[in-house]
Amino acid sequence: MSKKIVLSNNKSKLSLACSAEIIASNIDLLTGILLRVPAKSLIRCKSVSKQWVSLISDARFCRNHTQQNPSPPISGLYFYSICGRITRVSFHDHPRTTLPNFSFLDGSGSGSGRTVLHSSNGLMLCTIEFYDFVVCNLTTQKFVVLPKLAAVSKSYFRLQYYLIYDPKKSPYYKVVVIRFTYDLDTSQFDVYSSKSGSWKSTVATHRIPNAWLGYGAVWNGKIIWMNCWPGQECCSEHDHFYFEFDLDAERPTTAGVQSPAGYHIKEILYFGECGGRLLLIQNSYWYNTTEFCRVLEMIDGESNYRWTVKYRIDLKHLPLPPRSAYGYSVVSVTNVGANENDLALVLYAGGKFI
Amino acid sequence: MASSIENNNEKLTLKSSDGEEFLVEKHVALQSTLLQNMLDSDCSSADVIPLPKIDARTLALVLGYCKKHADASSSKQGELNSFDSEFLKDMDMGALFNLVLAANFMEIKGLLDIAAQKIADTIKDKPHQEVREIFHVENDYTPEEEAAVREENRWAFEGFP
Repeated sequence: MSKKIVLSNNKSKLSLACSAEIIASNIDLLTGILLRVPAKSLIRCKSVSKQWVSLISDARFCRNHTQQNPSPPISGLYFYSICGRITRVSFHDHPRTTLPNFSFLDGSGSGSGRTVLHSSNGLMLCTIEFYDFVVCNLTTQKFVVLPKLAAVSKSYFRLQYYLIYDPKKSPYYKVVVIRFTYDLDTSQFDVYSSKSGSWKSTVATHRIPNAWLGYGAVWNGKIIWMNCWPGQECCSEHDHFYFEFDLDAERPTTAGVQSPAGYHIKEILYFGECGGRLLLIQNSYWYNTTEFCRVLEMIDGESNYRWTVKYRIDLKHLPLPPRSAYGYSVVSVTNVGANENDLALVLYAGGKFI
Repeated sequence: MASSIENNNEKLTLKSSDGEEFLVEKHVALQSTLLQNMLDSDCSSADVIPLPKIDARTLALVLGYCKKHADASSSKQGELNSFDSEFLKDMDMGALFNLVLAANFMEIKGLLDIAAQKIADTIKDKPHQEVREIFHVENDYTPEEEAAVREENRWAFEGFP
């Protein structure tokens, strides 16, 4: 390239070389440009030069980049398949849209007992060697081992783990470990905050109804568990209880919520957050189950929750294989496209993603 | 201080690095914080303001942007957005770099933002070797170091040379 410039020795080429060099050596201008480059491209730009790698790896630059691009388009999904292996599915069908893997964790510990527990906006919470918690960023292939959590008392069981990270609200993340006693009268919440760098415990005595916490989701600064025991009975015939943990106040509460109106639920396919909404997907016991399900959205009225039916989905028109062979499961619901109302349902049926 | 804004028909003369003079309406010039500050201080509009770092071709582009944004400041944002994207559409890297430098020097934030975004959009799908050439950055890695950085981030390079 430099040779070409000398040969074509004309004024505009020279001034291009000159202005490019001025910009590349002006940290403010270069930073201003690189903050607008998507993360994956920036990772490649680390190979440009030593100055670039130190600029791009700089903690303040990373924070600014996250702040300026708080909700990049979703690149893919990671989940455990039936055989217990992590499966990666890119949302784009192109060789340049590959997703990172976990091999960077191989050097830490023996590699045995590494499990992904939860994830949130690009960060993943894993355990290695049982009680070591690791938060990793797949994009940068970096990870942090959290300080050890005090040993679990034997009277507690049923551990649940959550990682909460929302760059739109805070550059810091939280990890929540929840343990319950056998009689479910007492629960202990251990919260790690990356801001303080330490764990904090809260013990709560709350009778948790129905002794079963089925579905958990992070929504609106809270972890919410939903308790529904669907069977042949209509949802309006049994109670729905919600147990929630406020992440700022670090305080648990319970709430009863009106059951979605008369509907015979066979199973709950999905309970989770998507683009700021809490969604519940159910399919019906009475209707032809693989052909019909409905999506409900939680309306937040401050301690006064209510579900509304958003969509009814007719699965008849999906290219599903013959239903006698197997069921299907909802893997995820994500936002697609620019319109925040565009939701995509990711289904897994017979080895295919839809 | 207010007098510079009150009289919209006043004009001032800007002089590019290659000696070309541009007669500019004052409200257009006020898109530039640098010029605004100069006018707010005792700088007389009768003077020719030299811009020794900006060539005539770039200055003409900058003033085209300023005029559109000054005249349309009360009109719809959508119209300005489509003007902005059309304005940068076929611009080559050299012109974009010159625009960034001019907008930075003249303190025209909107122009700096869109030109930086355009550069970012252009380099995002390019291999790092090409980005290096575009910015005329000298490769100070040894081949081993470069291979190590690449290996560390192998996932991001799939499909790239």
